[in-house]
Amino acid sequence: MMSTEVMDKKVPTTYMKNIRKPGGIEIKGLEVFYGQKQILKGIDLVFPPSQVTAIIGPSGCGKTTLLRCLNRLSELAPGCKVKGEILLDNEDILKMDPMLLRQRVGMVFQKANPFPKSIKENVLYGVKAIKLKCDHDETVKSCLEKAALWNELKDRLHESAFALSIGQQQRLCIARTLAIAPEVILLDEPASSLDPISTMTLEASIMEMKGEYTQIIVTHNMNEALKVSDYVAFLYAGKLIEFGETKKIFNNPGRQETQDYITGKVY
Amino acid sequence: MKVTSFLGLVISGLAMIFGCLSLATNSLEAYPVPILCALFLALTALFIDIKLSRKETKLSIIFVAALTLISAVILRILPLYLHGFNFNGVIHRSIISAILLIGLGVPAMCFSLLYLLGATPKAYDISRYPLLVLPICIVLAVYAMIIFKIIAAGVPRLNWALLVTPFKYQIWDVEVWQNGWPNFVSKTVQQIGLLNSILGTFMLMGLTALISLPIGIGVGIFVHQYARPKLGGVIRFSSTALRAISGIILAITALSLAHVVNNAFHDTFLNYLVQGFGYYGNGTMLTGRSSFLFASLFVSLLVIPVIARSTEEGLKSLPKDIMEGSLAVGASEEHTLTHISLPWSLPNIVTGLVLGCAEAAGALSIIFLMSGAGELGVNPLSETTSLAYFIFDCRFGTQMGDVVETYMGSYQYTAAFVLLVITIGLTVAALIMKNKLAKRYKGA
Repeated sequence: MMSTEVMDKKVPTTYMKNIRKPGGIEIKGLEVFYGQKQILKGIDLVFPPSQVTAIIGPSGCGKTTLLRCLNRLSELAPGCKVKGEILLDNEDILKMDPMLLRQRVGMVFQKANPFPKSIKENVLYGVKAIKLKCDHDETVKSCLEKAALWNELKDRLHESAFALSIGQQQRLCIARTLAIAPEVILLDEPASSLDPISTMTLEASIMEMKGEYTQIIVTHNMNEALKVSDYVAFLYAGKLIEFGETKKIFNNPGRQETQDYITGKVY
Repeated sequence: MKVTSFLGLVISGLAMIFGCLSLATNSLEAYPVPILCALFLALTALFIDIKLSRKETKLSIIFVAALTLISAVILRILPLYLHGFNFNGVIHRSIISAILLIGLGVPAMCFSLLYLLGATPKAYDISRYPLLVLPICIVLAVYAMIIFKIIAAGVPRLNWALLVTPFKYQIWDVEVWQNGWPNFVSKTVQQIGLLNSILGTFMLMGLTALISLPIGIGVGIFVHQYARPKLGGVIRFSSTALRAISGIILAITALSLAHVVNNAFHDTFLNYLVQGFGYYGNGTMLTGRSSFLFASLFVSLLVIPVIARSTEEGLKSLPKDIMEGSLAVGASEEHTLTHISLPWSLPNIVTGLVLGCAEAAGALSIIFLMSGAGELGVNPLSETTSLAYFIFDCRFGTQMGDVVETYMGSYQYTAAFVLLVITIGLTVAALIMKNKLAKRYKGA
């Protein structure tokens, strides 16, 4: 499938030229149903561009569902209904072609899921799939550099991605997402299966990407949210309880529930 | 305790060996009763030994010992030939003695092993091996007998000329002028060989693979990816049902179809397409029973469900998050299918293909009813022929109205050996290919 947007750009030849302006996402009255069960009960939220927003909340409150709505992966589940409006740069994503949307909104999953291919092919998979015009070697280098993998892997580019450690696999997934030059990157508990050192490297990558991409990260780890995010959204039982700057939420939350969750009192 | 349990091990081993031999021959009638008596003595000795040295009363051992004694008495009383229950068949006593010897030898060996190794938990595990190993040994012995027979009878007659010569037996009249008058003399072309059957086997397998691979993979993809659950279930059920139809029904259907075509479109291209044709030595065109193309169409009906099922299993085994990962970078479903899912399920597809082709090459009533000796050449529109049919023809050709038995009857085991080598070779090749594919596309 040819991305119309990229075609309009007079065929940029390098990866750097493909990078899009980070986009903001605005959610208006989002409701999600799985069959009869309502997961999200009317959410209004704005993810500011170029910033890192953390979504926190107890298990089963709909964090992942919200995230998967943003690139319409939620539609893959049978019986899933999405109501409301989600605007990416003032464009309703529910009316966009999902393939074109996913080129602009990349995602990193909870479990590292590299493709059963070589490291290089993994990074270039999206580029080849959406026929993005760029210099392949340069793309691999710059993406792996951004994901803090280049120094470790520059001599092993043709080895299978399954031979890497879990932490490296997860960072490879980030590199793979960066290669399609998205505007927004969704991270679904990316550090949940990583050891502390890999987690630190991953967090460093997220901090480094700040400004170039709009990042939305779902996390259970309060320290992580405090460390990497600029804004925090607290979800509870399918509803948005509080949204605000990280410092404000952690130091001076407006709602009692938020205070209790952050300090670990209930839930 | 070492001595008694070792004695028990030796005697129970003897019992099992004689039991297996008694299954095959009935000239060992003198041995079962003494062996059973010895087993009884050994087990009793083991029981007393355990009682004295470990102060344990092992009732199970004395129970088996008692059974041993009872069976020895029964074997002594039984007549040499048994018949009754109004059956016409007659059972020789050696079958009974074989069953008793194996049935009592196995538990006796288990007990002996257990106490020989000191009755520890580890020894308890090891003492169960005879139970597991015995059926494997019996199956392997049967395989060994069959393969030994094929090799012993087939290999001595195998030679290179046989493999590179097609079988031919053709008679036609030639006009000869004698003393100014035309005279018709019959001319015979006759050569023995296996080349056309070997090539026919490959032709049949190849055409079957060519027809069934795309359809089977397509059905598998459709059922897994696109069909709604209900429709997928219907397709899955009907393909399984198709698999369960016995080949003879398909063969009869195919034959009657060929018959209908023969009647309705006699001497047209459609007729030749279905029946297969070839040219005689003098240039006459002849039609056969059915063409390779027609036969492989019907063989494909049996192979398609296997390939469809294995494709579906392969697609199903792809972790969901890898598929989602592909969609999440903006790849279309079709791109995901061709670049991630299908490569992932390639090893499964190869397995399905091998199973199917083994079926196409081997004993199939479709081949039996639709093949001929294949004297008229091997191309998709020639008469079907294959080694499986040829072996059958070597044995029962006369009854089928073929001349193969007369000229090549003594080569039946050679043909069987060649078929064995081809199928084993293909299976091994496919196994290696499967492992390579799994390494390449699953990252193993």
